[in-house]
Amino acid sequence: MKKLLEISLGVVTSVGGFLETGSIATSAQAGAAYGFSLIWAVILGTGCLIFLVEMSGRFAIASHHTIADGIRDRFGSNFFILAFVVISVVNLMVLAAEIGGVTLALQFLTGWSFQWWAVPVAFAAWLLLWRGTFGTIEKGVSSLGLIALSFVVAMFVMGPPWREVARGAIPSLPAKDGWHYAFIAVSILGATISNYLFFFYSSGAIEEKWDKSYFGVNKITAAFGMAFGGALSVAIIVLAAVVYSSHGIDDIEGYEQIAMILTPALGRWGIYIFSFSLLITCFGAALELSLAQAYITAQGFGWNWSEDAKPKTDPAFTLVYTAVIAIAVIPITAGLDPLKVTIFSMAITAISLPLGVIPFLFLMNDKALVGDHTNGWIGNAVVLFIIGLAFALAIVTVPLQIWGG
Amino acid sequence: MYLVRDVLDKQLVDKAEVRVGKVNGIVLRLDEHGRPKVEALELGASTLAKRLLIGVGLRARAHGRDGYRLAWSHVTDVGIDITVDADRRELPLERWQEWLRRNVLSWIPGGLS
Repeated sequence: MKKLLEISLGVVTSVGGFLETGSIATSAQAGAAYGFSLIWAVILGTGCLIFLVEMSGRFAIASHHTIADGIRDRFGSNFFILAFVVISVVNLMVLAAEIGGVTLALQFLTGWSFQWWAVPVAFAAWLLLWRGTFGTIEKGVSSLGLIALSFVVAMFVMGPPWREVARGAIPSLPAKDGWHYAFIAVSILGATISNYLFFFYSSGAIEEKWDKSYFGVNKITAAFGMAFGGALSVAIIVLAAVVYSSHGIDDIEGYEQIAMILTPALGRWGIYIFSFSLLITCFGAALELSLAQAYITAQGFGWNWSEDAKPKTDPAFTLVYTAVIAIAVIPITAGLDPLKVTIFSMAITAISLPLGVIPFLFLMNDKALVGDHTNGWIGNAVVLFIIGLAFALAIVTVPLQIWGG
Repeated sequence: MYLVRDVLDKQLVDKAEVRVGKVNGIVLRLDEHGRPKVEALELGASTLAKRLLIGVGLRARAHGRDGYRLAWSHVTDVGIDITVDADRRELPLERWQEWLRRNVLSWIPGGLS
């Protein structure tokens, strides 16, 4: 019974943690420009993510260590520092984008410019981390994120042509604008498969003291949580495709356009429900990113860490998230367009992907660390496929950014 | 036991299972018969900086202050973590954290509560 409760909480958490400004913006763009035809990118990304998240959890349960520990331990300090620097830059950019998402939501709700909201939002996030525990943050914020299920409800209300939606699940080449199509596909994959999730998830397994009886819980949480999260992204593509085509919009120029996708289905409440979904999912993601950055730093350099501990106990750990929030709030306070920051940060996430994914191949086959819980041949085949995909994405991102973005 | 595989870059924990840093370096010394013996573990950021310089091919620049050396006799167990019986207040990580408490946390409300 306790396990069942934990599974449902875990799934809720993952749903809340999956959707954030990156997946909302890239899905809306995909739907606007190419209708249902990029749904396959969400499905591919979600499938890869399920495997990697399950492995992060399994690694933590079996070795009592996190992925960041494993990278330092098996690849040495120099590789760790390289990965650390690249992933930190990406995390800061994505964190800025998430803070931007929250501030935009507040702009839609109050009419006051997002810039003015940046510092209060950052302060609220920091205060929650400074005073809260892992449990309150994870479960509290993520449960509120369930409001994002309204995207799925709205999709059914709109009643899209399901046969065409299903056809979008199969990869296809676009009729026009190949560069742009590829750029959006890469951004969707970048928004779906993010390195910080592995670091966060494996640290979460340690924070919640998952023991050897949790292998099953881990599998179900990873599979269902990520699959439901992916379903939300698909719902946004479908809504965008249906709503924008009737308004003749084929390119998203601002978040105001994304904010209207619930209105045809849910009426005048649509804008409020959208804004609240954006607010809470981005706020949750901002907390996870700040924590993930503190986890990677502390684990890689061997500091003591726990979100449940008081700042006095682990000062270095708590000052990392304090510092990253303080830095990430700057671009939004300065008035950089949160949508632009989001699209850019999703693309650079794709560049950094190989550094986060390659270690899985080694860590998940190391008997000294995970004992009998190494990857089977399917797991290894999937990791190899993802590494190939990650390299392809990393290589094509820069040219696509220039010609397609 | 292989030093690089089983000791280098491992997590150090003290008797109370508190993490007190990573093994950033290993110090070997030749005894009177010319056989290498593990003398100490090196902690602290300067060792990491030296390894980074050597790693990028700047061996000539990798000199300067040695890191903190913790005698091998303090090591009580080598597993996934390395357990040591040292007082963590003497180790560089905790000394730095003490500095952070006094000079940074004390300025932030709730930092020391």
